[in-house]
Amino acid sequence: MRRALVLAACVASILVAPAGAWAHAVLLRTVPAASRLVNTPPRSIALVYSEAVEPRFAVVSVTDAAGRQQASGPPQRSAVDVDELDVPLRPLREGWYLVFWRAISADGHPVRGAFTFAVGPNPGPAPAFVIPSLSETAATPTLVAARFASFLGLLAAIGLFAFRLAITRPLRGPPRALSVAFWLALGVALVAVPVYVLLATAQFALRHAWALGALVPLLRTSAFGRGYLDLELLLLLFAVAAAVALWLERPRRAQRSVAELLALGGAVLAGSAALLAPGAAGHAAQTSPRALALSLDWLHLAAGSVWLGGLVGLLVLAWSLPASQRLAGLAVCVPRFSNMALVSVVALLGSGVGAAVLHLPTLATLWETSYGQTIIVKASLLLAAIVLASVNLLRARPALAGADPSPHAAVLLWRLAGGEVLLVAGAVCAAAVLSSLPPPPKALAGLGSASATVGPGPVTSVVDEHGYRLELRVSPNRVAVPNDFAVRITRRGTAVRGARVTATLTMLDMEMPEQSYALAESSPGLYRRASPALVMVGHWGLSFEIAPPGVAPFTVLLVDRAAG
Amino acid sequence: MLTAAGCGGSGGSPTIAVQPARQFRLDTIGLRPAGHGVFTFSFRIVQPNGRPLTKFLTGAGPHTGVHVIYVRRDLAELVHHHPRVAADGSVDDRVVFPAPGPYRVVVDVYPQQVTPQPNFQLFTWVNVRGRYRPKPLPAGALTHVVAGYRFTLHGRPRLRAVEPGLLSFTVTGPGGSAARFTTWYGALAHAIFFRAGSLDYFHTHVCAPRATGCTSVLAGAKVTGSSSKPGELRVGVLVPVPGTWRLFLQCRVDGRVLTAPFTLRVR
Repeated sequence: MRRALVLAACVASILVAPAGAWAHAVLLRTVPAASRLVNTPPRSIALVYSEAVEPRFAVVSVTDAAGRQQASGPPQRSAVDVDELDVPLRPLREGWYLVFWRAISADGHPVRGAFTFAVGPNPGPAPAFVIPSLSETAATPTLVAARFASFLGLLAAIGLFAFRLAITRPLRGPPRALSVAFWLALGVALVAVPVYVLLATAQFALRHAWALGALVPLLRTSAFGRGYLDLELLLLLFAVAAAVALWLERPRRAQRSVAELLALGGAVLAGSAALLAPGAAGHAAQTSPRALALSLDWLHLAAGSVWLGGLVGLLVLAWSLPASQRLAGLAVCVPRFSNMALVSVVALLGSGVGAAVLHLPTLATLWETSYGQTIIVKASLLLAAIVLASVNLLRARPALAGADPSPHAAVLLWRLAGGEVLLVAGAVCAAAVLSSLPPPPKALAGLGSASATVGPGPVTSVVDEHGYRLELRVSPNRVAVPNDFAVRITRRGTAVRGARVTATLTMLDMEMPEQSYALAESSPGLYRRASPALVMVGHWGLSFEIAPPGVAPFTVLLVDRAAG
Repeated sequence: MLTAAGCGGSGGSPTIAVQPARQFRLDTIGLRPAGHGVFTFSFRIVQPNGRPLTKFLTGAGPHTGVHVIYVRRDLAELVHHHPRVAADGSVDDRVVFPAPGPYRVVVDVYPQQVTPQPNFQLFTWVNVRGRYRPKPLPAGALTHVVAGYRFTLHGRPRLRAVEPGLLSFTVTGPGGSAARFTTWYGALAHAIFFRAGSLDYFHTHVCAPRATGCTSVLAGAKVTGSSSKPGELRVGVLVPVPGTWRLFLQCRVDGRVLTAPFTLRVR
């Protein structure tokens, strides 16, 4: 009990803590610098990130043009800077080298990138390195299944507990089957959560799930792993408090005893804290404003839990009550549950819409990104469930509440509630997928409308803007090699000299800081700069700010796909 | 592809397998005899995308097109050409070798697209039939007389690897007058360096003051040679590795191309 209160206080402190600046670890700086030529072969590579990434989850490969590995050991955290990973190297010969890195962010999502450097003085021409294609995601079928089982068990267990204690009390001794269903759901959650943490850690650490000796020390190293292990502890606490509450319960008494109320309060606190854990270990904790995002996530899970657990409870009740008591029992419980379900559905919809608004930077990302599409699927399933719930409310409830309830009403209720459970479980599955996908980056909201969508491959795009003709070029538009960014500006056929041209690059597929480069005028009207700016395969917003002499600056945006 | 090595164990860390990169390469069938001791060395430069390189730097100065240098393994013989490149990127270089033996071929390329250095080299070997009698490398004399012209290296240069240095030469004609250099392959003089044994390569040029397109950029350092008065050559040097290096100093005087070899120690 006291522990539950302490936990609740801790949970409250998480709510008011400031939000993190970035959702993902970002590579800020490297030594040697990307695409740079160094004369002295480096003995190690240093990668400086925006947060302290765990070296045991990081993989850094340094290969020569022939693909031979040059790293002589695993990445180590720098003794000087916690955000820095150091990778020891074999003695390097003259030539070009590809560094491919992959790390795990605090929120559990893998991030990766690549860059090249050359050992001189005469490294030869830059080769066309093949960047390893890692279609690595936290949304693998196994991980989604484990997540689904965890969510389903968690929601059903807490909802069944609420149903058992709040809705079925007038029955003066609910059927044992209800308690069995509760313990079963809780058991599923208690098993699924650690299995999920183990599977996810195995994937992040690129190890087999049975390599327990290697994995167990890693379980608490990521913020994500810690979050889910905390969920497991909270669930255990909830199990203890629920067992005490159920043991002390005396349904035949008119009023609950003080001991029963205390145990119940402890269970409610532990259950509430458990519902906060998935959000605290996931996207909600990385989305600003954090307190609002976490509150919405908690409300969403609590409402879903009441609805799902209550529906399962009704089905168990209808199935387990003796035929003689069935209609009478349902006639008592269904109206009580419908009121609670109505409130929870409204809360579910409200918090879901609020979270979608927080996570989606633009309306278009709702149908353009897999994250948005999963939200559509999840919302459709929930809406279908709400349709069934309305039929239940309008048809089955009055039929059961009438003076002479007919057995047909019970059958109708059984079918409709069964359909609802399946649909809500489908929505929980969609939620398991959704929470495995990275939300669309906020960078999308900051960008205006694109003049053109270009790439992969060399880019030549002609844009007429503000009376100027701009010929924009990106060559070769490949990742991890120096790319030539060039703008030729003409006005009525004559070159425009003395303009200020700035190119700003924004990664669109994940959160990364912007990079800006001033382009120098290399010949009249031609502004260019070579830069290794495209450090990752994916979509980039290339924004060119053009300031002709004496004219207000204007911006042209290209959405570019850079290939490896 | 991502592979998890170290499965089931706790020791080995996971690694990533990376495919070999696609690189520039020399597409050649080697030497073909063209009669009367003349050979044709035919090649194309193939880009990483598989297409032949057809666009090269043009303009004043020596940093244009393709340079081909044939050097015998013992560094006793050297042939230096700037052949014409056909529109399809193929080169047929007609070459007469001074003596038989194994020659390392250096194709020094100045592509239009910066890669990101202005030039790069591709290498191959050809064998010129006949009895190969390797000669030992001569000692580091500071004066050489070639066809009556006297090449003198001034001071005892202390060269270090990867550090820019400068070598001062004077060239005098048979009568003792200062030699008058005329532009040959875009420069007043070419300084071609090969390291004994490994045949590492470095090449720089000497141009008239204020000449454009003559500065070599290597490892972020700019290496320029200059000749401000007749008979005087200042050669910028930046060699990559220590060892014994052979410098072939080439210039055109009175319509003749002269090659003066020097042996240098680089720490």
